[in-house]
Amino acid sequence: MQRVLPAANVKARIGGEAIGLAADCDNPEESVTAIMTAGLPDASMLPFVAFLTPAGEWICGASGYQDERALLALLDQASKSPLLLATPAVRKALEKPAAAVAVALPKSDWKVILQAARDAARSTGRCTERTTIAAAEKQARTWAAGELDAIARAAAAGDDVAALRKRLAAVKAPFAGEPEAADVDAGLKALQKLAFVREVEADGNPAKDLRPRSAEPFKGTRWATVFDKPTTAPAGK
Amino acid sequence: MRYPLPIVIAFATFLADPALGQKHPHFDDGGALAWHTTFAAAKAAATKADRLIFVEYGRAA
Repeated sequence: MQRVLPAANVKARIGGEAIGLAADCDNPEESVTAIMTAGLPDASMLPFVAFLTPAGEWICGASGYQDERALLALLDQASKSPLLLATPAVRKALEKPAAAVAVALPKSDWKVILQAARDAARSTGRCTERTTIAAAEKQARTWAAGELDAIARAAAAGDDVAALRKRLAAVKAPFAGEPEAADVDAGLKALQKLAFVREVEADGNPAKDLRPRSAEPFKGTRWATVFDKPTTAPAGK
Repeated sequence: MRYPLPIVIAFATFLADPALGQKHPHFDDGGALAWHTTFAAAKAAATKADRLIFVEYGRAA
């Protein structure tokens, strides 16, 4: 697998269609062994590979070395499996949240959309209702990411911290319990530190490394950029 | 309760991508897949991302 998975034609597809489960055959989970044994009863040559539904149901698999063509054939077979389709009961359960999303989306009512996404995550199976909800959820998260980026840029440009804190709170409210809310918390800490930096700078003679040192805990996030030296004087603290 | 900033950032990063996993424990797949080492974690990630689960059942070479 270490030679086949990185191949460009395999890598281009498999990562977008599957999640990997690395099962150690010397220390396997019983449930995984049971699935593999049932799916490949005569298999003897490692590795055993398989594609399962998101719920863990067997679709197809093979044992021994699989070249790129064989692995992609398995992926094709798995992707077309009827087991991936939602049952009528699941579709029925998703009708209401999908309808709520259709009403909420034009109003950018992210809270309703995220609740529908949480409802949808309780079941599996592909259907138009789930697609509708997923598309709206993507829009919600894109909006939040854009807003957080804009807030970070505004802070770096010297905008008033108090006003930016309010904008962060407006992002957090509909995204409570979502990763974006944790990102808002990080942003609030960054803005708090930025206000301190501006105060020190306003008092004159700040340490040369004050801004880079303040940015350090936020390295790798959008919030590190708020400590970039503004090209114009800050509008407020 | 207040959490240290690195924990907040790591948590946000982890949750932001449902497909986020680890590297394969036995070999380098060139970043082809996000790997999990427990069935429960793989199912949760696959459900969230609406993706298949690819099982590689083997041992370190």
